[in-house]
Amino acid sequence: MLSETVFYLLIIAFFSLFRTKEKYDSFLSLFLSGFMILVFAFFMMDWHMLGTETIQTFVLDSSQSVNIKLDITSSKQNYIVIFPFFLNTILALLNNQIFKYEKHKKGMLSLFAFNLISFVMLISGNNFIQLMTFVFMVDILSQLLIFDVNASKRYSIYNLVADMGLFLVLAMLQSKLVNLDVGNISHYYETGRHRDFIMFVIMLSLAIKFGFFLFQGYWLDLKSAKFHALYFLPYLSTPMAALVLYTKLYPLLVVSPSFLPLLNTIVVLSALWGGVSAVLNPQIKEKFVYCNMFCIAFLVKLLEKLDFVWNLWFSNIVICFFVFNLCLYYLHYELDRGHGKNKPAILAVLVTFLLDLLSLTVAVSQLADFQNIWWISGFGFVFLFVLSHLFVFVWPKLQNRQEPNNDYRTICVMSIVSVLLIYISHSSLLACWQACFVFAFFVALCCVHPMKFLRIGNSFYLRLQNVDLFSLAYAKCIEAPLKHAGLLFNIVVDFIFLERTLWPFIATFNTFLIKTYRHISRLGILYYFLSTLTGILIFIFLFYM
Amino acid sequence: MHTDYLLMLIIFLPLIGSIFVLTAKDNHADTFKNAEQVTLLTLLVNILLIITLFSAKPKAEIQADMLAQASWHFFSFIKFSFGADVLALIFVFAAQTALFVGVFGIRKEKQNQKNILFYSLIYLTFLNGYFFALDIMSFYICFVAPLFPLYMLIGYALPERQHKILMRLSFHHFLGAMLLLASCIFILSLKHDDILLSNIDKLHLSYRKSLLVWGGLFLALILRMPVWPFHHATTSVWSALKNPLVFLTLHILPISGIYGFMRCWPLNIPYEISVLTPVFQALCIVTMIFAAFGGYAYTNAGHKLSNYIFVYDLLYLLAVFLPTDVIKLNIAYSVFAFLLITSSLVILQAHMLRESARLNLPVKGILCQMPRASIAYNLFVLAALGLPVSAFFGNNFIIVSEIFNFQLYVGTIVVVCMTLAAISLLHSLYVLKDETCVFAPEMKIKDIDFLSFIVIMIVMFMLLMSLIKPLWFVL
Repeated sequence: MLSETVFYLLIIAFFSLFRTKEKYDSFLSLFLSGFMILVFAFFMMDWHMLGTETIQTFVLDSSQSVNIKLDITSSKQNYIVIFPFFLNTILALLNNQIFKYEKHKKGMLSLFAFNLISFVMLISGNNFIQLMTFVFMVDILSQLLIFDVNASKRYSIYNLVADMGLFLVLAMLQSKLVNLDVGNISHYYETGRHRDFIMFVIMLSLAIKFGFFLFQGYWLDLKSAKFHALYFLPYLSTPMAALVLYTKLYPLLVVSPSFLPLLNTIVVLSALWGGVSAVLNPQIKEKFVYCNMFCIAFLVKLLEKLDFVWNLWFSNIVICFFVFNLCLYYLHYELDRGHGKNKPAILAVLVTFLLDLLSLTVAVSQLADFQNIWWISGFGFVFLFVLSHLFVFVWPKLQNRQEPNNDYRTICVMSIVSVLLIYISHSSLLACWQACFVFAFFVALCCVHPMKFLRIGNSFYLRLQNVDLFSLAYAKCIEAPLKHAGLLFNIVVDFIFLERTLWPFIATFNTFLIKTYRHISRLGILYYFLSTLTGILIFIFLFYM
Repeated sequence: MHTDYLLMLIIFLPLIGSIFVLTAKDNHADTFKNAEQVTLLTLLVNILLIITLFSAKPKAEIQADMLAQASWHFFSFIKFSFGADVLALIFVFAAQTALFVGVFGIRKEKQNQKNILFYSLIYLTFLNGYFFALDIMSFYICFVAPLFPLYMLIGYALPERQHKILMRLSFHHFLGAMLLLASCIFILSLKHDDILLSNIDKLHLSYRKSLLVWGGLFLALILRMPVWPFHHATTSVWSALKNPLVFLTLHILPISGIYGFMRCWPLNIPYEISVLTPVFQALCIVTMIFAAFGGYAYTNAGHKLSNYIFVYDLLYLLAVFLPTDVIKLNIAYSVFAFLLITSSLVILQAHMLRESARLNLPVKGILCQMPRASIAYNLFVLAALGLPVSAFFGNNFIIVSEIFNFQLYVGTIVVVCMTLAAISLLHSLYVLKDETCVFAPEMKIKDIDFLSFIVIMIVMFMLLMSLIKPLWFVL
């Protein structure tokens, strides 16, 4: 059951938090990673042995206004959705174990475990508060995983805006619905209104979280962080949390007539911008970001075409994209960071790369039907263009490396990944005739390299990149108006109106009253009559009040 | 259990503590230490007493019943009635804990520390009385009485050239006190007897009388809140105050205004007043927008925190005016978390400012040199943003959803203002953590001391537990 999996993961996460001497760190983290693989094995066994759906509920707070509870629903569907995240986490842990990129391996393990728990709770949750809590948790953990202040600055601000958007929508729903269950969403439009507004806010929040066109700036900031943070974040953090939310909140989206046009526009723009930038950009980290932007746009559109039903083949696609990231990361590691002396390792990466492409083809071909074939074909073509370009980008560097190196770690990781890929798509690997076409097309693209003409305009593109239009737009359109509005309010209202007008007026009026009182309280018959008259006037005023 | 004695003890223990603080010798080197320890002990004992009072009845009953009640006859004709229900206890608990944390913020201060601790305890005594007051007489007295120690505290903490702003603040409070006095005298003249706060709305009043009573009450309480155009009096003092404990005592004052509305304001507002509700809402919203944008007008973290506090005070004010009774406890839980979060942030900021002034350094990037303060500040900012680290998150969600239930556009503006305030606070965190600012190694920047760090982490633990169950400490 999922609750047991969560329990075991919590044990791993808390054990990883304990501080130990540095020499024991590797050993303990290896032990705990082994335990995590064991938990994964149990998870798989539970999945295959699961009969009926079971729900475990922990009531946290029960008050007059709300019941806050945590649900862990064990169903086949939830296992399917959790499966890619669990496997991706295991692969990320494997990477963390074998290479020494992270000083505190146990700390990283703990973050991965908490992140996975958040995903399990997000997927198996049935109420709004749980959804929001774990989406926020994923954001917090992502910032900790980035572990770089400058790189995470825009990441956290963008995601905070997205989170507050979701907060707004869910609070609106809570105000109209009787209870906080997700299943009640479809009843919202019986009592509530503003379907376009709700759809727009949700799409805006999700687009920020996906890092779509116009919001990719914070992903580009991650290039100043370590590369290993960049490879797992797209498929183990906020974009995937947004994808899960997308499957849960779709009843609120589809009722708006503007949803499909908006989705198509944003997906096409993101895919095009991502694809073109992945080809043109000279830096591998930026290529990486844009490539992921393209892939996530594909996932979002595919899910919509599947009527928001996340099936096993869709899970396989998520895994395949993660493995693409892993391969690109290893290529970067072997080539760009001065370690590229290990030809067998690079070849192992390339073999895994091709095997991943094969698995992806298998998974996508299983999902293609008459309704979505054009979308899938379109995305597929662009994706192959991008991949062939990346391949051609890497290949000349490989040719220059001559010195042998006996580091087998990359080969080891890639072998494990290859075995996993064969395992997840073995049932239709050989029967998939489309794979032959894809391979043939990919090889042809690599040979012909049709995108090379784009290099003519490369200098313009680089200039465009250097200008950093998005940062400029952020600074000029959002930051500056906010600052100026704040200053304006402060000067006009606080300083000019209150400080210089209202308060001096009250003070002058007060002085006038005091002076008048002093005048009429002097000795003399006239003053006596005046003061008596004032008193009578006040009395009459109060009487009639 | 004799809960009546417990209630009186909770009210008067700070007063007893203040006498001990006052008797500490002035010429002794350990004076500050003694005064501080007495204050901490007093507050700690009071916190334990509150927890004991919470546990006086079974968990199922504590939300419905009065946990303790006590009356105190002064001469034969004046009777003070105090009572503790779960709402009052949460506010009292929050105030004691916030001031307990605040005391750790002035440990390094040498100037007037004894006097500040003395007046803080006196202030707390009257504030406790205010939160527990059941009848109109005790409510009025405890409404006015905390102001005198508060002015003394502000007077000690404010720079001399800024005393004018204290006069403006006291003018507001004096006006509020006069209006409440007029309302109370009027009610007493109608009834010829002391009347319970919960029974004010049962009085049959004509149009003018109703306007006088409810208008007076409303203005008296609203003058404690930073609502436009009265906001400047409070916020200018907030901005000028450098002493964290005094800042916190003043920060509790608007919270007491919110509590006053929760206690006295009827669910079905009389028609004469209810017609003005949209005007009042508009004023709150305008002020909230000012406050949210105000955070961007300044660069220092203190101002940003003040504006953040300002936005949330107004959120609670809007919430207490909703014509529903069901979210009162949610407001209380949220205020509890809010006070703990802000008090911890205030003392951390005070430490950073002190170090920056001591070494004549900019505060930009100073957190990079303070690992403990950095961890604590990070966690509290996350909580302050409304992320699921405390009861603040879930209860704010309920409050905002209730605002949406009645006013969609108001709700939307409220969320936008909360977002702006949160981004402003997050921005200040990144300025304090800016890694590009490198400090020379010979500049020995001191981190917060271990004891303060432990206390702050305990507060964080309380907040985390409150996320799971708000009254987790009830035995």
